[in-house]
Amino acid sequence: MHPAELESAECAGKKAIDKAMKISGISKNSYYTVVTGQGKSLIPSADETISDGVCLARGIYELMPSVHTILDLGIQKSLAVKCSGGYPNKIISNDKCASGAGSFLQVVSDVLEIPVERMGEISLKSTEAVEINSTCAVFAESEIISLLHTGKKLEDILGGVYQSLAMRLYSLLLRVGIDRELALVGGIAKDKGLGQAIEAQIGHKILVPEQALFVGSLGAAIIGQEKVGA
Amino acid sequence: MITAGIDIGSLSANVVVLSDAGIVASHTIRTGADSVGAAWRVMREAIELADSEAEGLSLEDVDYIVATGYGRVIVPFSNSTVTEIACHARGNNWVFPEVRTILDMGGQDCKAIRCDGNGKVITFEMNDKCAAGTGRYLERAASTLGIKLREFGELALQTEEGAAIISSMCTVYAQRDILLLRQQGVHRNDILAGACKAIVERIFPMLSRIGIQEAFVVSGGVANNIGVIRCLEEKVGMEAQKHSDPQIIGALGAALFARDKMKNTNHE
Repeated sequence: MHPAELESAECAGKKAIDKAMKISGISKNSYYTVVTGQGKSLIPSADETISDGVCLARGIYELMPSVHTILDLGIQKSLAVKCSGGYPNKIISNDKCASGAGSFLQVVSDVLEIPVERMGEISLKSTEAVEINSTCAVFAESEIISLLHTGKKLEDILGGVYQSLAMRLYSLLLRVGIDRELALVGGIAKDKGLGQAIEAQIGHKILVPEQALFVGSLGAAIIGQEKVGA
Repeated sequence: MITAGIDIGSLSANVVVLSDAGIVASHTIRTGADSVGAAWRVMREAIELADSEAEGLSLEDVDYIVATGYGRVIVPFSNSTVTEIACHARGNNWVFPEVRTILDMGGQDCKAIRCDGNGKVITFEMNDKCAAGTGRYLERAASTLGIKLREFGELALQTEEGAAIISSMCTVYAQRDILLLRQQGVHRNDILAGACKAIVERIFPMLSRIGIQEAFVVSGGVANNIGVIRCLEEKVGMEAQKHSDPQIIGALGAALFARDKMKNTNHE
C-alpha cells in the first residue's frame, strides 16, 4: 500500500509495486499488471485496466466466498456491489458527493482536529448521538461547530456523524440489495465506529476481511494471473 | 411612518430602515456564531446610520419590524416574520417593477423565484442542501487560492487561457481539483473563472425549472461577484439586473411588508 494523494498516481503506483516485489522477492521483469481503482486510467504502463466492481467481486470471492454484497468505502468514492461466484451482478457507486464517502469523515476530522483513525473509537462512547441535519459535508462542518458551541459532547457529535454517514451508505446498499453476508472493504472499513453504525442501520452483523484495503487489488491480481495462464 | 426589515442570513445580517420617502438607511454585518447578538448589533448600527440621515431617530420610532431569512425566528425585537422567498420577490419588485425572474444567491442557499408584476411569488426552486451552487462554494474556492471574496469576480474576468474546467461538482472535491490545477500550473484567474462557470452550471437547472422570463434580476451576496454575473448572462441569454447593494434586498422586502402591516392596521 502506498498513499496516492501527494504525488502522481503513476509514481505512487510504481513505488507500491516495487515495494511489494522487494518484500516478495520476485524479480522485476516477470510480472503482468492489472490496474483498478479510481486512478486506474492514470497508469499507462499497465497491461490492463479493470473496473473496481469486477475486481472487488473477484477479490472477495477469494477471501470470503459466502459474501454476496460488498460495500467499498474509499476516501472519494463509495461503491456497493452485489455479486456471486466472483462476478458482479449489480454495481452502484457514488463519487459525486462527499457526503457519502470517506471524505465526509475527513472533513469532520479537520474541523474537530482529531485524526480520522481515532474518531470511530470516540464515537463508540456516545450515549446520546446528536442528529446531524446537514447532508452536505461543507454544511455539516458549520453545524458541528455550532453543536460544539452549544456544549454537545464530542462523542455524541461523532456518534451522530457516523449515524448520518451510515444512513447514506445504507440507501446506496438498498439500491443493490442487501444480503445477510455483507462485507465492508476499503480504506475505512476497519473503523469500528463506522462498522457499528452500519450494523445498527441494517440490523445485523457485517464482515470485515483482514485484508479490507486490498480486496480490489487482490481481485486484479487474480484476474491478471488467469490472463497469463499461471 | 418608519418601518424596518431585518434579514438574518447564514453569513450576513442585513437591515433596511424605510420611511414614506424611501430607504433611510441600510446596513450589513457578518452574522457570526451569535445570531441574536448580530441581530441587535446590525439593527442598532442601522438606526445610528438612519439617525445621521434623519435627526433624532431611535429604535422606538420604528413603527413595525419584520424579520426574514434563515434566522428570522431568533430576532427578539421583530413584530412578525415573513419567509425570505416572499421578501426577495417583494424587494426586487420594488427596485425593478418589471422583474419576473429572480435569482437570489446567498451564502448557504440559492433560490430561483418567478413572480408577477406585483412582486407576488408564482413559483420557486431552492437549494439549501448542497454547498455547490451557493456562496459557500465560492468562499472555499477563494480561500483555497488565497484571494479575498471581493476580488474574486474581477480576477475571474482577467483569464490567461480561458476558464479552467473544474470537473467535480461537490465543494469538497472541487477544492481538491483546484489544488491539482494549481499544481499543474494553471493560472489562478483561469481557475477562478472555472469556479464561476461551475456555480452557474449548478444553478441553471433551477432557473430552467421555474421558466425564465424577462426581466431577470439577481440578488444576494454572490450577485456582487461580477465573474458569476457574466457567466449567468451568457448562459441565460439575458441581461442580469441588480441593485447596487444586492445583499439588502431581503431586508428591503421585509421593510415593505412591515409598511403594509402598518397601513392595514391604520385602515382598520
